[in-house]
Amino acid sequence: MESGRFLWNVWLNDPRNEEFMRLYQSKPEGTRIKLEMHLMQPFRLMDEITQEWDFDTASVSVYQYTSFLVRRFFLMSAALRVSIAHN
Amino acid sequence: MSSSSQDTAAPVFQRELDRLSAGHQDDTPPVIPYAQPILLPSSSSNPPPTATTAATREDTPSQRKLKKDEGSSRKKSLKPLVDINVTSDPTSSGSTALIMNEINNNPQKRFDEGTLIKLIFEEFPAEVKLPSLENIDDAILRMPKSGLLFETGQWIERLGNDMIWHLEPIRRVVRIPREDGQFAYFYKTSAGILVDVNKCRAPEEGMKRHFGLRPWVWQQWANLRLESFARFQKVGFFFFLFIVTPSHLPLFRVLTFFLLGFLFVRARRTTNATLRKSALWKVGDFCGTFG
Repeated sequence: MESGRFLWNVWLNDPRNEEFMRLYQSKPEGTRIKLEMHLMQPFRLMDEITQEWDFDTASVSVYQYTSFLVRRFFLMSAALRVSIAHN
Repeated sequence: MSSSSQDTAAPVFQRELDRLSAGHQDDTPPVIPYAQPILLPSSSSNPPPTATTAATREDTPSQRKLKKDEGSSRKKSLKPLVDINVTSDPTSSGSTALIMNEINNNPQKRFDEGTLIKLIFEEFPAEVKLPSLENIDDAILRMPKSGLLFETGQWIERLGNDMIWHLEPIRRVVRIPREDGQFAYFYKTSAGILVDVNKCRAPEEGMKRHFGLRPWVWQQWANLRLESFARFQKVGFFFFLFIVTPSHLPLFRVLTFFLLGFLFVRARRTTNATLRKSALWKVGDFCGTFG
């Protein structure tokens, strides 16, 4: 989240971004805070995953791999077929 | 509402109606079960409600201690998005609370049909699913005096378990005491889910109406930039066989060289003489001496 905030401040205070800065300044302070909070949600979620989510005691399987990384669908389906055949 | 439903609702409130019509003989306030959580005390003299969840009750003491330690360390390491400096109690706001306070202050007032309907739709707003333009602008432009970013009646987006942002109105602002003596604030949306104050966001459509699309382009760029830093397996072909690092790249170049040579040697046996005179096949011959 720190990196996200840093990049946001760099982009916001860039002299080439003066037009948006004027629009940004014309809004009330609460709206500005809400905008920043809105934009930082992906970074906050990353922080939450790395710091709050518990992977040590969780049962991570090949299905989680697919759900996180989207790819490796064939591997997952093969594991599913094997597990069904085994049963 | 028909008369039959009024009759069924009557016993529920009969005791309270009797108390109200009696004109508060005793000083104790009337006990209204479902309205009790929203009439939280604003002063600090009254004891806060205890937070004992079902999960903590079921665990063994050792597990509870473990959880407690983990939770406290993680909470300390995380910085909140918004520094909450609450000037007044945000939990006392809300139209339902206003109605109940009005009834408590004026004993002559009774539950009529309109009030009942209003109360029920406040509690179970199944019919009102879509916000108006004014609702969205209100959620973005208005800041409540309580110090939180949103208050009862404003629309927010919360991240569901399906990883989709759901647009819902706030029905309650709930505070739960933490272990360190402070309060944790939550919004209770119309879905009946407690949302952490820092884990919700303003409605995206309204934000785009006010600020344009530029910040979201920036967000995409920042996410891609972060991904390029954070991604593992930068070399993407043989990753299922070896743990590949960039230092392995020369090795894979040599392997590719031998592989090409092998293929050309295999292919030369099946081609005619005119094709073999071309420059491409000579390169293949050269590679094939190694393969």
